[in-house]
Amino acid sequence: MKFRDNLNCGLNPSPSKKVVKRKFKNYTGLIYILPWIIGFVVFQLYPFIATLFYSFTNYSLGRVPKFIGLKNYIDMFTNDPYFFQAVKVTTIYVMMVVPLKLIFALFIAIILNVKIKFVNFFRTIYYIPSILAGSVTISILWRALFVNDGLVNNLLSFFHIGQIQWLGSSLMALFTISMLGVWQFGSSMVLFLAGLKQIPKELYEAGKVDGASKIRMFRIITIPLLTPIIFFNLIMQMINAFQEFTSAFVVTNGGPMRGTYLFGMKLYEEAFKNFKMGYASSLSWMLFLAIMVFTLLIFKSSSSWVHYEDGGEF
Amino acid sequence: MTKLPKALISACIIASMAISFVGCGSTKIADSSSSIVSSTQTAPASVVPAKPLTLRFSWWGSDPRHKVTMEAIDLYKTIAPNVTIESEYMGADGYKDKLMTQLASGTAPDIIQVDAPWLSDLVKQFNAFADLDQFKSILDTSGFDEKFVKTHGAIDNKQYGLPTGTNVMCMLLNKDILAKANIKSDQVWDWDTIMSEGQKVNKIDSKSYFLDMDQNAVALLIVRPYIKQKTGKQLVNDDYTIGFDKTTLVDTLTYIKKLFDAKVIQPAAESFMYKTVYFQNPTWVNNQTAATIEWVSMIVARKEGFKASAEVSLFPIPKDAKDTALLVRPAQLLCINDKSAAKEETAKFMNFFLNNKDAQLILKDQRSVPPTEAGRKVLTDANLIDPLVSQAVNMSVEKAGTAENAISSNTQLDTIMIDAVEKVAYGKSTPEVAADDMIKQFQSKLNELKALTVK
Repeated sequence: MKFRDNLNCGLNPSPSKKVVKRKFKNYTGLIYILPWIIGFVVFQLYPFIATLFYSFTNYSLGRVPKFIGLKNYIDMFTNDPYFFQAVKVTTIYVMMVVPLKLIFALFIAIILNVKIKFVNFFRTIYYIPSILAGSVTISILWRALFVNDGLVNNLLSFFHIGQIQWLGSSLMALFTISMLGVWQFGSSMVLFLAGLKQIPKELYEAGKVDGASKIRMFRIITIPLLTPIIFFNLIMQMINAFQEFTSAFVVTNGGPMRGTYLFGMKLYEEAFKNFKMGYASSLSWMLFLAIMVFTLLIFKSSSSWVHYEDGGEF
Repeated sequence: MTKLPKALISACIIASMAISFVGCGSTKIADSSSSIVSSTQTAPASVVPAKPLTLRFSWWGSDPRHKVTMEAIDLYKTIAPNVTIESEYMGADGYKDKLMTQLASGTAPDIIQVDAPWLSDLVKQFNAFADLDQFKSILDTSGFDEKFVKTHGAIDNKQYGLPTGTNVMCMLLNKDILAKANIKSDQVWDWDTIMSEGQKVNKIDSKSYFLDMDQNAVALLIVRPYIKQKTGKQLVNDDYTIGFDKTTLVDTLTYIKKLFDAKVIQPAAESFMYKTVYFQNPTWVNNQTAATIEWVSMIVARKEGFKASAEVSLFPIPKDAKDTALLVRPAQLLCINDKSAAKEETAKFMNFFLNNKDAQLILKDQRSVPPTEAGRKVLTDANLIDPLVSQAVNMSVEKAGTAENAISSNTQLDTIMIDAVEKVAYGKSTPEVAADDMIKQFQSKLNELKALTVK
């Protein structure tokens, strides 16, 4: 008894007080997360529901919205000259950025998975770009780097390599802004690093004993045990890549000739240049559905390639 | 620690976060208890209100214009010390988008600089601006040319904006580059001579080009007038039907293609990344461009890099043009936000800005030539109008073409035109295919816009 009293710091609540204490504790927790709840309701839940509603109207700023049923969704596929361009560009962008990002992240994570003196410094350096993700400033700098007389071309001419028109053609410009996305691989890299560290060293030792080459060990030990992390990174990066906007807007403004006309840009133009809020809402819901479909597909496929050590199911 | 202080602390933290969240709201007009301010100013007969007041003024431009505008605002503070004017300025790119968002959310400034082509849309969609006729006693419009004011600032006979200056389209030239290319100094420029003589610039120096224009400038300052000169009609008729036929459009786009093929204009792959900011193109900055077609209100800023060798010339008008298509219109309009809480005070400031002699001396020609006779006289007497600006305006006013109707200057149609220019300039489509596309999209967009007018 005395020991327990000491644990309670001298307090000895009676049973009724205990109940009150528990109820009060619950409310305290609620109050602590109230700011987040308010933010979530105002900035995420409300727009979520409101855009669904507006997507079935012809809402344009300054006018009263009128219900028009599925017209926006039909127009998207039949009456919009640039909808398919945006879909095509975004798909190419996602297919370029996501695999490259994951490959670089894994590659650098393996290199940094060593115990040398300043490795933490390098890990930080490689991580920093991903914190700057979506930043307008970085996009402005990226543009300054890759314009015709920008830093990159100056460097190339210093080494007597010809100038490249990084932003001069549709595909090249898309590649350039993809590079901006890939450059921000830091967050994926950190997760891979954590995953690598969890792989038991005994497996590699056993592999060495059996005479497996480094590449073989990578293929049959590292990759399978990393699949949960690959899975997570794949989903997160894919979701982000589909919603990319800032780099296309700042670096190339959707050009040249809509070569970098990402879906985010289409949405922006319809909403804030043409003020067709109803149509823009339907576009955003289409994007949401597309991302959901792809995410579900990857989840469904995960049972065949994602390997959990503890045999856990998802 | 007991539970009560813990909860109290959490409540305080949340309260302070909530307050800081709310506090970052829109600026409010300062309001203090009324006090009698003894005034010894030489302001007009109307009484200066006792309460301190804050008005917001938004405009677009570049640094020289920002500087003189803020100087004029400082001058107003000496005349009406209780009125503080907050400056909200930025570059031209994105100004209209920002303004429309502000109007939609009811957070627009009190006095707003507006481009004349936007007036119709903004009035119809947002009922954005106050009818200036109600401020007749405060706003002196006698110095303005009545026809000019009514043509460009009025919708359905209500005066929504007053012009800040008289703007014309012209050519800005660098005579040093022309001399290097052996182009004679008194060359008359029309579309044919631009093609024949302009080619010489790049032939002499492969890094130089005759014209530096981005896709936006090409669409608005070459394609649009070129079509109008051929048809003599509005780009889009008042009944929302297209005012030109496919042949004219193909002709126009073919001309554009020839300009790029002959390197009269710098190749699109290099120059089109400077959309709406062609003057940031190194070719312009390094004085490797012979000319550009531009609005006269911008030429003082544009010729900064080659002041001594700058020249102006009349906008290209072919001899057989059915309409000169030379637009003479307000440089910008100043409008009063209909939702402003201090419309009368705003009108007083507008009157000062447009009519006050000292203000004119400060503002100079940063919004082109003043629209009032008195303003022009003040600047000419003080030698403050750039002679090139006067020259351009004077030679253009008498050749003015028909003013554009509202629908022809709709920016969504501009976007379609810019797309066509890009396709042709990048060599992605032939002029015929691009023309087909453009007409189809015009048709579709016009149907859409027409449907919105039926309300």
